[in-house]
Amino acid sequence: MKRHISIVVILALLLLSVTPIVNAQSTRIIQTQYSFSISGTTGLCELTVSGNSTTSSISATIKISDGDRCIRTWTPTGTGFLSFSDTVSLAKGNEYTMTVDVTIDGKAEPTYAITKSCT
Amino acid sequence: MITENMISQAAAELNEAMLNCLPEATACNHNFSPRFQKRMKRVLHRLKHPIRHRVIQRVACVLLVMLLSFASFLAISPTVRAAVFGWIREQYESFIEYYFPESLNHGTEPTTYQLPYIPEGYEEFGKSEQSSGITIYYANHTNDRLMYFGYSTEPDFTAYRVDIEAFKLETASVNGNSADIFISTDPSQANAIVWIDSKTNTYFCISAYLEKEELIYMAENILRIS
Repeated sequence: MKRHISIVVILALLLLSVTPIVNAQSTRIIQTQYSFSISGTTGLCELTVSGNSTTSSISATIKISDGDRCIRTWTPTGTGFLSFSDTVSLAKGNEYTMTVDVTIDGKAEPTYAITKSCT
Repeated sequence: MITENMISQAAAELNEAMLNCLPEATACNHNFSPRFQKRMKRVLHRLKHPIRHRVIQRVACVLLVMLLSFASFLAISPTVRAAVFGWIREQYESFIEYYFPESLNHGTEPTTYQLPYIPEGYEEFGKSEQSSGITIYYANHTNDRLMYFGYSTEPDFTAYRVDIEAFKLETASVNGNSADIFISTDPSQANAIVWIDSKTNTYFCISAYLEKEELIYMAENILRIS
C-alpha cells in the first residue's frame, strides 16, 4: 500500500513539473506575437499585435529591465496592427526581462513577460 | 550456573513442546483469501528467483532515476523542451499560448509561405516581417474587416497568444496535424485556425471572416514559396 502511494506521489510530482501555471484575463481573439532573443550582447525585441479591424488603435509599452532597473523603453503604436522590432545592448552575465503592455482600442491586454540570460 | 548448552537444550524442548501443541495439519481447514494466496505466491516466486528479482529492482531504480532526471531537465531547460516538444501549446482560461522556447537552428534560411487564394474583395493591407515570424494583413474594400495570415518557423523565444474568451474552441486536422479552430460567438468577429506543422516545426495562423470548412481548406492548401 505504501509503495502504491509512493508511486502515485512520484507520478503526481512528474506531472506537476511540466504543468503550466494558469493566470491572466482577456477579451477577444487577438493574436499577439512577442519575442525576445539574445545574441552575444545584443537583445532583439519583437512584437506583432493583430487588431480586429483596419481601424483598431493599438499601442504598446515595451520595457527591458535588469532586475528592478529599467534600461530601455519603447512605446510603439499602430492602426489595424502593430509591428515592432528593435535591439538593445546588454551586458554579459545579467538576466533581462522584457515586459510588454498592449492596449487595443483603449482596452488593456494582460502583461506579457519574457526573461532571458545574457551569457 | 546456567550454561549456554542448557539454554539451547531448553529452547529446543520448548520448541518441541510448542509444536506438539499445534493441531494436526489435516485438522486445519482454513481457507486463505485469494489476496493472501496471491501475495504468498509472489513471495515464494521471489525466493525461488532471488537474482532475477534483484536485477529487476535495480533496473527499475535506474529507470526511475533517469525518468526523474529527464523530467527535471524538461522543467528547467527550455532548450530540452524545444528539442523534445518543438512548439508548446498551453491553454489558459481566456487564451491559448503557443510558444517556442529556444531555437536550435540558428542561421537557417527562413521559409516563405502564402495563402492559396485571397477571399474576394480583400487586398493586402500590411505586413509584419520579423525574424521571429511573418504576418500578412488583408482588408476588405470597405476597410472595416481585417484578416491575416501568420507563420513562424523555429524562432528564438517567441510566443503567440490567441485570446479565446468570446470564441468556441474546436479541433480539426490539417494535413495530419492537429489544429485549433476558434469560432466566434459574435458574427462581427473573425474566426481563426491555428496549427503547427510537425514536419517543418512551423506555427501557422489564419484569421478570417470564413466558415470553419473554408478555413480548413485554406490551411490545407498553404503554398510554400521558398
